[in-house]
Amino acid sequence: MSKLLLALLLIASVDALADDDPRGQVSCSASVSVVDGNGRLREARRVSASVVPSVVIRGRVSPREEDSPALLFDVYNPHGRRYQVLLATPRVVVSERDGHRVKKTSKTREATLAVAGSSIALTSMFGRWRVEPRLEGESRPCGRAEIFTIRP
Amino acid sequence: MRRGVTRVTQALALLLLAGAGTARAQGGLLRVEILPPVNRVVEGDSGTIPVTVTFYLSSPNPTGPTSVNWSTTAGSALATADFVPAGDTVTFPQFNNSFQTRTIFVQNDTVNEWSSTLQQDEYFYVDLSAPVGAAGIENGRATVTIVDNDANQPGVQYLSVVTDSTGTNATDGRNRLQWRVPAAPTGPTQFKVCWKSNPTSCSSPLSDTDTAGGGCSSINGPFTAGGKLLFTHDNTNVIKVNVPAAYCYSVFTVYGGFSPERAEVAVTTFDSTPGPVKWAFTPGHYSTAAAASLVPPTVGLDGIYSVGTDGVVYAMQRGVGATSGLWPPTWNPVALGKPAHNRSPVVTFSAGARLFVGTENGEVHAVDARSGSIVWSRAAGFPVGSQQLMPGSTGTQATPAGVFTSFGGLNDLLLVGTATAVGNTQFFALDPTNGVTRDFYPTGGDTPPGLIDNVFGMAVVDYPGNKVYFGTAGSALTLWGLDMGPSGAPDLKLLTTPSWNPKPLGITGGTTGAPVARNGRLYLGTDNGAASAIHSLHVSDGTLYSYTHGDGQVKGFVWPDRRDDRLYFTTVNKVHGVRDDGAAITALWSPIAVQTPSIPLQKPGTDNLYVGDGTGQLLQINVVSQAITPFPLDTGTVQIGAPSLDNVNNLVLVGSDKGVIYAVRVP
Repeated sequence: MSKLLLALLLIASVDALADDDPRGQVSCSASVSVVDGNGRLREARRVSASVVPSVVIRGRVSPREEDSPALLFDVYNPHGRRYQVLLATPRVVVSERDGHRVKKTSKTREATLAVAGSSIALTSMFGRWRVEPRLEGESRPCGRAEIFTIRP
Repeated sequence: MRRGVTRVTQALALLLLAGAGTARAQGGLLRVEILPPVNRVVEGDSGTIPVTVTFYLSSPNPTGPTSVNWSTTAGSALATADFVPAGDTVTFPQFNNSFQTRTIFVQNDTVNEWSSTLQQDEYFYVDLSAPVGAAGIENGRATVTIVDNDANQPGVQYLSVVTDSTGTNATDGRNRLQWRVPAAPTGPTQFKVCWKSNPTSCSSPLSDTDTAGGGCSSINGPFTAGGKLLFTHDNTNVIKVNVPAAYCYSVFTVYGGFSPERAEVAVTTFDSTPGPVKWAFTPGHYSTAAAASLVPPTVGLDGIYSVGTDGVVYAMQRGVGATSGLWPPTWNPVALGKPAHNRSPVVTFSAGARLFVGTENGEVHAVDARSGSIVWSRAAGFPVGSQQLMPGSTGTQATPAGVFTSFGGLNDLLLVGTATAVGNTQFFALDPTNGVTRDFYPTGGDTPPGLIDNVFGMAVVDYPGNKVYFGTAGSALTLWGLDMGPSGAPDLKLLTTPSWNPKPLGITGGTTGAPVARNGRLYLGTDNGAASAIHSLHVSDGTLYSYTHGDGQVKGFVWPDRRDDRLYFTTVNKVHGVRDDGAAITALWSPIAVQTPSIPLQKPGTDNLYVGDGTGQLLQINVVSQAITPFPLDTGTVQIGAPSLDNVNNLVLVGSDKGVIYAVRVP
């Protein structure tokens, strides 16, 4: 009897959580990369402000729906203050098929954050940076924060 | 009879004028404007909205009619979807320069084109072309900005607050909040300004009952959608403003219920009457953190301009007076979508003052410095005509420099290099009046062939020599010198004399700042870790020597003391003073330890050097005694950005990574 009561309580609390979240099970992600000299992306945990022009932040929203709100990345500086809000746009991949160039919109959305030559370098804002994915119109993150380091 | 004589007299006078004018241009100058001059149209839901376009000829043409073609041109607003494309020819009869008008139409819709994150209005242009019988075109472009009305219950837009005090009493603080009234299918009926206050810190009210230590004031409609509102909180209010104290405001927009977009802004009050900080400008936001304003503000004739890291350009009235810090009367904040990283130049042309902003997504924008209208954008999404895209869309964008005929240049050119993730860029010369590329380097036939590396800093122009110099970074750090070509035919070409050109600095990897020309030498700071240095290149013979400081990046550029051969610069945690005697660079003093100093600024003709630091202070450093006078602006680990000088008003202007712009009175 007590197990049944506990189960009912757990179901009730899950329902309450679902009611609190008007978007249901929407979740999102963020990952930080840099483009190397050959134009290829590689993971970036530590970035040199004297070498890397920009970092690329990529994310996904799931489930993916045409009318899902815009994905934003809140970028926080080492002081914990928000430095920029980046609007992620769908990534366009161009490939060749039967001699024709084909444009395809990827599920992945991305945004760039300038580093070398930017205010980050010009004010020595070196240290641990945090990126939080968020849906436009929401005040809370929709996924896990990513940490990366910018060094001189 | 009398009228007949007058007509004969007029005709004779005009004939004489016509004869006298044979050596002059035939007619006057042509202008196109949208009236009223703020050029903003609030969109509707269906049908179209007429907009009157006015065409002016500055003086009548005595020799014949004057005509000019006009047409609408897409900006971020698109033809047919957002406006009805139109165009024809306007003709001013002989002897007649009465202004003429045409009507164009904004296309209404119910598509939500407003993003509360980017805050960008759409816009399109009316352009003049092919004038006949006129001396020329003085202003060939007018901008129509469309304020979208389709967002569901938007909050107030571009909220900001100016903080100062009206007296020396403890309750003489003053916070003036400004915002744009949002446009919506059904407009707001009320704004509610609520606040909480505490001597040291506070949080913005989450509702109109969450006001412990504060209160609320209501502003009732009707309101003009897209219009500007000012709310003053000072000692004339029932609840006065204490000094010093922290104030956190929320502005609620009421549409029956509250808009979910609660705009908030937090300030700390101060006594500006005896104190050196005369006013502070703080932009607001929809959620809990401010945007950094670390880019040095630009001081122009019509105002002080600041681009936040949210890409919004704000203008503030200059000086120390009743309206200082507030938006100029004709100004509307404008969002560019991305921030800038260096000071944006303001240049006045016959068509008006223009603010040129390079943003970090590889775009260059010209903004009307009086109205805030975008005059042109070289943007990836909407290039000018069939012009080549600027190649910086994946990286940083260097700040535009310029050469202008009004300052003695042979041509009017905006000179800008770009940076991408993979290098391979070009250096562009744009027409400052319309953004069209006049030339770029290297092009086919240029030497050396092939693309250049990234340009991170502003170029420097040698006006008498008609030359431009810039640094590139990538596989090797290099200084370049280009000739800019003859008057009327700009042509960027590698200088063949001096023969050092281009000059590799013997460093691989790292970045450069912006070069500075002084005493026949070019100075360039490079960032290459512990080997970072400033370099002195003798332009005449290519002699190169360096000064290695071992403290990482040289911030931006070297500041030359215009009185002699001294130079000042800042690095990661130090402020340096050196001397270049023509053979070597030597230290004037042991580097001064300053936590994360900004790019320096010297007040002309004085020994005072100004630097922002990482502890919320603006520092005044005497370059002779090295005595430091701090101006505390904030507390804790707050980064203060690069200073700018309003020399007329003895004000230094700086921003912080809390997003605040301070106006500091200096000796």
